Amino acid sequence: MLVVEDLVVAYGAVEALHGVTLEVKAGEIVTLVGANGAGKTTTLRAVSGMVAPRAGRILFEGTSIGGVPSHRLVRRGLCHVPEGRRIFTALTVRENLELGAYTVRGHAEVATRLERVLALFPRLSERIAQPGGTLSGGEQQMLAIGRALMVRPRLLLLDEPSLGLAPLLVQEIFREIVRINRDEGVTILLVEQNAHLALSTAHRGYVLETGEIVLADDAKRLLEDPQVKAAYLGAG
Amino acid sequence: MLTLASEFQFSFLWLGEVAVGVVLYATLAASLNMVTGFGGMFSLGHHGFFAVGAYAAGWCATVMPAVEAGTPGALGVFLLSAAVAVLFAAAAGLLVGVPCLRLRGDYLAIATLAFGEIVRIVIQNTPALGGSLELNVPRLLMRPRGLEEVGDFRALFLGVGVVMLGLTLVVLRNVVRSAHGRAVVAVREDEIASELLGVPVTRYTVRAFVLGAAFAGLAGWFYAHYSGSIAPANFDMLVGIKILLIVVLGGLGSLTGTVLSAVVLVGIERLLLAGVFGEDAKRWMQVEYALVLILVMLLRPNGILGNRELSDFFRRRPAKGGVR
Amino acid sequence: MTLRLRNLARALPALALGYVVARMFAGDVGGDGTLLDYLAIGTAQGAIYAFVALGYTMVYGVIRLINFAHGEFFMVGAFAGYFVLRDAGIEKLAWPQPWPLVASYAVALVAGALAAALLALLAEALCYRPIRKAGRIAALLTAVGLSLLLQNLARQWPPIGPTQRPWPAPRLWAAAADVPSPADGNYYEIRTFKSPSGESVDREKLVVAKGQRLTPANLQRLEALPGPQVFRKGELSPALVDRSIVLMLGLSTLVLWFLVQRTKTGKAMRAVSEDHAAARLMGVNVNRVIAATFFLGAFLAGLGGVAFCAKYGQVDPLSGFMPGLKAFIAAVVGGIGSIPGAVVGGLFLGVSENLFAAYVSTEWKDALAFVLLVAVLLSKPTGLLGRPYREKI
Repeated sequence: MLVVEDLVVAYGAVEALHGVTLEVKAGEIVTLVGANGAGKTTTLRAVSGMVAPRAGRILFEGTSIGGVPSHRLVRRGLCHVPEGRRIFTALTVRENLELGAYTVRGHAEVATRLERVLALFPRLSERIAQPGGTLSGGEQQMLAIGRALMVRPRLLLLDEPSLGLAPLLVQEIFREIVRINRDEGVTILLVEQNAHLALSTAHRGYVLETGEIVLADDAKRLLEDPQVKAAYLGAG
Repeated sequence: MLTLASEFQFSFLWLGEVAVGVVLYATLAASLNMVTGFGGMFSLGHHGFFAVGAYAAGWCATVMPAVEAGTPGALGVFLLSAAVAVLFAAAAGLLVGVPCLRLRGDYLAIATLAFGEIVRIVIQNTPALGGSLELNVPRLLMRPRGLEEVGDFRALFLGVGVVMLGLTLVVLRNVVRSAHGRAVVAVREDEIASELLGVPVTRYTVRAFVLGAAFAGLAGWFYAHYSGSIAPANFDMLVGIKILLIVVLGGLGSLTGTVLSAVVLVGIERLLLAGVFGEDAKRWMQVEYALVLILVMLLRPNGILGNRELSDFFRRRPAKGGVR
Repeated sequence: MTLRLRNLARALPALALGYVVARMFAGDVGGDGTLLDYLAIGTAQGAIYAFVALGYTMVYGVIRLINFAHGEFFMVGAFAGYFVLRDAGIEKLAWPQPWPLVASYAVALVAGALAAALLALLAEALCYRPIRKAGRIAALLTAVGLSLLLQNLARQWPPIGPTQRPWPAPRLWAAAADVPSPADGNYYEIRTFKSPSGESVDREKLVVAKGQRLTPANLQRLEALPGPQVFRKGELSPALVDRSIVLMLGLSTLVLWFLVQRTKTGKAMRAVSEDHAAARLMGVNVNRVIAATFFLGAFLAGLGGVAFCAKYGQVDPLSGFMPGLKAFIAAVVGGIGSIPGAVVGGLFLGVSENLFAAYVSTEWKDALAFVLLVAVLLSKPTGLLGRPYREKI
């Protein structure tokens, strides 16, 4: 579904990615793990068109999307939930969700999608008329994911969904991620600081180190990998 | 090859006038660069301090007992009016700076713009300052006896102006290189970080602001004595914009860039005014001026030199920045 | 208790405004220098500020740019309206009075609004979009440059020119045969002359003065011409103009509220004003939303321009400068970025300026706006209705 080949991204004179190659197949959850500043977020930003790649190819469902602006990619079914959630704090929960369906024509369709997302996150329906800024961190994360699901994406890019959340909430969010993947058939590329959690959720994983892929394997095998254990799982 | 329009007669007199204009605007721009370039504070009302200085000097010269031009007494009044101009402008800078510098970015720009306008309205409504008409400033440096001496009197002012500009640049450079200057630059780079490092942000930004205002006042003093009469219309927003344009074109934080761009901009303006590029170019001058402003912003938003100094271009290694 | 006081503080001005507007529409405002009179004039002037302030506030909301050229959009709109009123001849429509006048003003307002809006689209695409990434100072200076450019282009362009022009008086057209005898007013016709340089110039020429009789020769000549041939000069009563302006502001605000709160583009606008990148990730074409914001803002400024110049009876290339600056202050006073704030700020500034001029001093009237601006900036930088602002990194 998504193929990234030799992706190079630079911010000014600083190269953040030096040739990243990875693949996400339809129906998978793939995770990128790595330390801070390894280039995980940059990879997602390049895929979703927020930064222009300097070199390399990005193929989404067989067509090249390098340099296509983000708002067009949304129409093609690729949706990115950015780091820090970035919900619209002054807009109500309903308006946030409706904006997720910005590319959708027809009130009826928007209404069915809204219903479906609210069924998935019942907590949001309780807060439907509240401004997004008044939600708790966990609710905001649900809103961010729910807003992305309004697009009915085929590929969902998730950046640090656990950031700043209490452990219980993190578990709840990750259960939802698995459910979205399984029940709604959404392919997911997940970036997560918590490598253990990410690898136990995903099917496959890539390990990123200073802008390069150093390991790629089944998530389970990565969990057992001594190198990964030492570096990211905090166990010898 | 430029075809010069026939009516333009080159003369040293004209060149002297242009040079005086360059020196005046270079001083103004350097003083604004202190505020905007080094301090990162965006001021749209710098012409207000220019006006305060000019009117303070003019007022001081008119209320002093009459003195014969060219005598030591006149020189005394001349210098006294400079001190008065700088004091008043610095006081105005403090008055505006202390409350306004709590504001950031656009809000600060708006507040300073309002200040510039208020200064103009206050002058317009103060009869002692000539109201909306001209305030005549007595000649102190030399009595203009006849046209043949006009050249001398301008040359004299050019000398004064060069000293003024030199003084401005030296003081500003020293200030920038001092610990104080580094603090201001640190503030520009990152306010929260410098606050954490123990840099008293507000105190330094206010100091930079007051210093910039003081030198703008000095330029006002120079202008009042040079032109011999000042009116509120000489200090409208366009002047503030012109100063800011010179600063931006020269590069925020670059002193040599400021002088260079004052030469370029004032030079082009005077050539246009003199009709060197023909009558049409002169008639459309304001349009061309606005176009230059827009084009500079679109093509070189960081100025001709960026924030480097001219000397950086003669070094072997690529320069990182003029302010270190 | 404090909550109630705050509600009262909000309700009282609204009630007072409602009262003044009601008296205006009841026709009780007579121009006789009473407090009510100044309040009414201030409300009308404030409504014009509000029209212009709305554009400032909307543009600032989406791209954090103080669009200095907004006052020039206002001026261009005013001139478009001026040319429609002067040259389009809509007043000649053979409808019963006052409908030809109403129609001509309607067309002038729409033309002014559209001219300003199209100019804003052009300015956004050519100047503001390329500069957006270069930082706020560059963008602000570009706006200043654009403002100077438009002002001076207007001064140099022959159809406009630097001089102040009187606003066209409404022409009440009639057929020559219908002119009472003796005439009930001065009647004019339009004659085309050849100027020395060979251009044809239209001039008004008196056909019959008040109390005189139309000569048979003139009557015969005029009757041979098509349509209504002669006109009387009417005048717009100030009370009527003020009422129309207030009504227009009310309607525009309602429409704008609906657009911003209820439509998809409006929601996108609010989303963009909060976070460009996040809006883009939702599939919002941010460039298009910004262009739409400029369009809407300038549309309102164009309406305000025509209304302002009709109210004050003259137009020139600098017409936009002071109202633009004042409206900008109104936007800041109300809370820049807030749409209700722009309306409140505009009305507040208009009313306080007129009260100040009436009871304190006319000379210092212009200073009031700036002092008010500084006072608001220092005590509550986000304005009367603004949200607390965060500096974005």
